[in-house]
Amino acid sequence: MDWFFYAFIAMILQGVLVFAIKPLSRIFNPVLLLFMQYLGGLISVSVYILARKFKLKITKRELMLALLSGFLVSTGLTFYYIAIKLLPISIASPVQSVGIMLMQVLFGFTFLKEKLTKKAFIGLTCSILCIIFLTI
Amino acid sequence: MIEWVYLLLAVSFMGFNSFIVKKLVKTLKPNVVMFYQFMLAMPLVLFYTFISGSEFIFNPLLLLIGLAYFVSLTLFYVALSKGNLIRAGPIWTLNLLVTALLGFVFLLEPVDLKIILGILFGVLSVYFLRGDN
Repeated sequence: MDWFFYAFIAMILQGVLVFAIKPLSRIFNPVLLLFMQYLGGLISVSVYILARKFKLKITKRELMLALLSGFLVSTGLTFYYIAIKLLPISIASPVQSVGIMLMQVLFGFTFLKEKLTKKAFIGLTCSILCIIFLTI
Repeated sequence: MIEWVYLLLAVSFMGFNSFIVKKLVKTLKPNVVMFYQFMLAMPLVLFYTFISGSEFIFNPLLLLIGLAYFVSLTLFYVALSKGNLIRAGPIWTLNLLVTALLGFVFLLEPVDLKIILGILFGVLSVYFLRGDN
């Protein structure tokens, strides 16, 4: 059961972190907050990698994908943090989380030809209803 | 209206990113992927900070946000390695509930039936989609 403990703590921490951006964005520019998040994150992950002696060697293709991922996630978070400043956090956070899940399923169904199961179909319907109720 | 455009762009970028990360973590340790992501993200977001016209204020306490972000992601990866995505994924995604509750309690954000139903359907979609994928 210790996987549950780790996942639970991670969930609480992530929830509190996203929440903290809202009051902090009243004092600081949200994009500056994101920069400080990445700076603190880079220091932390570097220390962790050194301590665990992880190898940083990766192939050229993996490097290109990792950099593309860095571009997508940081640009996405920039837009998200600006949206958090402008919208109530209790609306922005659920719409963002559900929207990402919805995109993953639609991408998988459209481009990867993944099978849409009955359960996934119910999930898709719930996602759409969630977004409708939170945005109308 | 512009806030919804920002949110839509955020979802699009981050949704596409999740596919790339899914591919990368098949061969690399998640923390190594995180390292390379942050290497590009840090100067890029610094550039965004300047073009957004923000004054650069260095407050070391704000680095704690980064530490919390790193700890949260790393704990999630540990949970994935000890359990699996089907079980740990939904719990992680429920952070939306924590954020929303904190917003209601501490920021006194308005709550009505529409918002409660929206969040309820959000939680249900996490159960059906994450539990299935």
